[in-house]
Amino acid sequence: MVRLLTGVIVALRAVNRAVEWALKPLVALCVTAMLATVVWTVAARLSGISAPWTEKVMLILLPALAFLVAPIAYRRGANVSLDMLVNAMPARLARAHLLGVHVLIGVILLVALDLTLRKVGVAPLYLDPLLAALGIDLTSIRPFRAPIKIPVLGIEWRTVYLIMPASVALMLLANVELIGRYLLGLFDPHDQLVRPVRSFDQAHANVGE
Amino acid sequence: MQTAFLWLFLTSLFIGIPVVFGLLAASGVVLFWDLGDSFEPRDLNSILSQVFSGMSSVPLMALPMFILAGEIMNRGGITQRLVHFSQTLVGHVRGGLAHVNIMSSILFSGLSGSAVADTSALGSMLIPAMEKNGYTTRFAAAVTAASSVIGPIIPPSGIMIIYAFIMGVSPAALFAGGIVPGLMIGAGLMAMSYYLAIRNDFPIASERATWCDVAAAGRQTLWPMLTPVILLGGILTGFFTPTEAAGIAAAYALIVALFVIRTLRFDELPRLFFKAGVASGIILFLIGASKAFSWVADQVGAAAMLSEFVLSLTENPYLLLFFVNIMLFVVGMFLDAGPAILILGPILSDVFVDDLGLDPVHFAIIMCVNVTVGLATPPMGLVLFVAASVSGERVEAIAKAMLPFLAVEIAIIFLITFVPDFVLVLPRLMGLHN
Repeated sequence: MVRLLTGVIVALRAVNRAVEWALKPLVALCVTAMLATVVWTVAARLSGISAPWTEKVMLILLPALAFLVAPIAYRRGANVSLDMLVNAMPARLARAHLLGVHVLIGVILLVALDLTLRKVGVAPLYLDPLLAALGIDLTSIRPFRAPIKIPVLGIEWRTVYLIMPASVALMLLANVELIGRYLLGLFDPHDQLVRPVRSFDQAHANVGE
Repeated sequence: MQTAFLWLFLTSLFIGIPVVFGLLAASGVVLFWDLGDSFEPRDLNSILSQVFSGMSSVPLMALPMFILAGEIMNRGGITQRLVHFSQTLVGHVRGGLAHVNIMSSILFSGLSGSAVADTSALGSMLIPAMEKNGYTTRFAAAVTAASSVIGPIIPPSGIMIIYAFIMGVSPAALFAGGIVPGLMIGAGLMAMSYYLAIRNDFPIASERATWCDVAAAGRQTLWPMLTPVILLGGILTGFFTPTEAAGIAAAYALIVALFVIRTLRFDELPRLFFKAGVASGIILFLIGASKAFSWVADQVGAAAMLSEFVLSLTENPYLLLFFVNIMLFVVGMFLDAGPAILILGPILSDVFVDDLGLDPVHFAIIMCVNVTVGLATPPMGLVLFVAASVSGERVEAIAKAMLPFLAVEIAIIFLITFVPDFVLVLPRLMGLHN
């Protein structure tokens, strides 16, 4: 059991590290695009050139950045949270508690995955039984298939919305890894995989995570 | 049942669920719960739409740009120049390095609107220097932590951009409104440092600098210090929108750091942009989730009910302001400034601005200053932890040494609360507010 769990965690860790490796340049690129767009907006305004696309691009870049960062931030524990209760618990109880917390987050992410897939026009039939087991029935929501385009850019909103299910799916991957780590902690608290994924502040020690 | 959303959220917060997930879960559950038979699953879809549209707004673009400008300035080696300049200005006063620390924070706040960045950048340089000069580590760390809260109060300020966006207040008026309270805190902290320096016989850092020395040190900081001039000048004169000003400030900071003072290398840029992206992305997601949360609170009538409850306590606005100051200060002890504003802003603004007729800019500044000062208070003050990490001193020891400074900050909070002119004088003089 422990060996199987360790294998799964190691595999998920490798996948999540690859995801982080791939997302990092995209995040930097997104910020660069934001800077270029704002500067271009000012330059266009001062020189009297019409650049209506800049506003639309900004409206896409902002949520894009948030959803690109979300999987990394979740896995690295960078989201704001209160740790007082967990810090006051004995180590074993804290691990069990955090396991419960991440299971709850997993449920939120499952619902979010279902909703975001419907938002891009996909009916996630395979999620229905899973959510039904949790007492949640979202089957009455019709997938959004209207071909509404963004003015000026000509891109369909559905294409922009794709970032949402992609991001939630990646968060779910991280969620499963974290659940695995805390689960392993219940059996073998001294296993190296049990310690939490290091934060950005400890980035110098991130090798091997 | 209308307040169930708040209890659910607070419970999720208490058990350690990240704020962003707590906001989303509480919104979904309460919608399901409170709408009862009239609930339809597609209402959950509305939450999703609120999250997306909540972060998809042009004025919000100012936030990542401000963060980027601050990151560039932090990385660009400007801290050392600021400290040197501050030393020529106030280093000759008794307790000189404590004054240098506070003065550097005031100057630094014009470049970076983050208290944490201020503590980390100035603390790593000034705490060891103060120790060498005979100050205790706890005192050095306490001065650094106490003065770093000036960062988000003097513009540019990330939390003011968030407040302006959420509550529809003019960011330019907020920026102008933050200047006097920020300077008051700086002056108050310097006065307290002077008193403590005399009582504890702290040393003078350096001899009085000549005007030539001051000018030479000032020249070193000239290019970077033009960033807040461009930023604030652009916004306050109406030449730039806050979004444009933030972008231009970031671009300017980049050019200065790369080509003028040459303290930044091209190969450092991807890492720097990534760091700014992560900080921005986390806040943007939080803004989206809090928009959904506010929408749900509005749908189930909870916001109106909470307003009624607060007003039922007393209708005396001064007494309510007194209580709200205490509440915000306590909230600031536990929550970071951004989330505190996102969660409480819409509810409290309903009561104080809409129902009691308080000036929106005045209330915004009261709220921003309160939650910012809370960053430097135990048990969860982020700035306190950073100061502890930089100095190697225990959090409890720093917190104790901070008490005199905290007393000054609390006194100033009450002063700006009950004398609104301290906040409103500049926005009115600049024609940004009636």
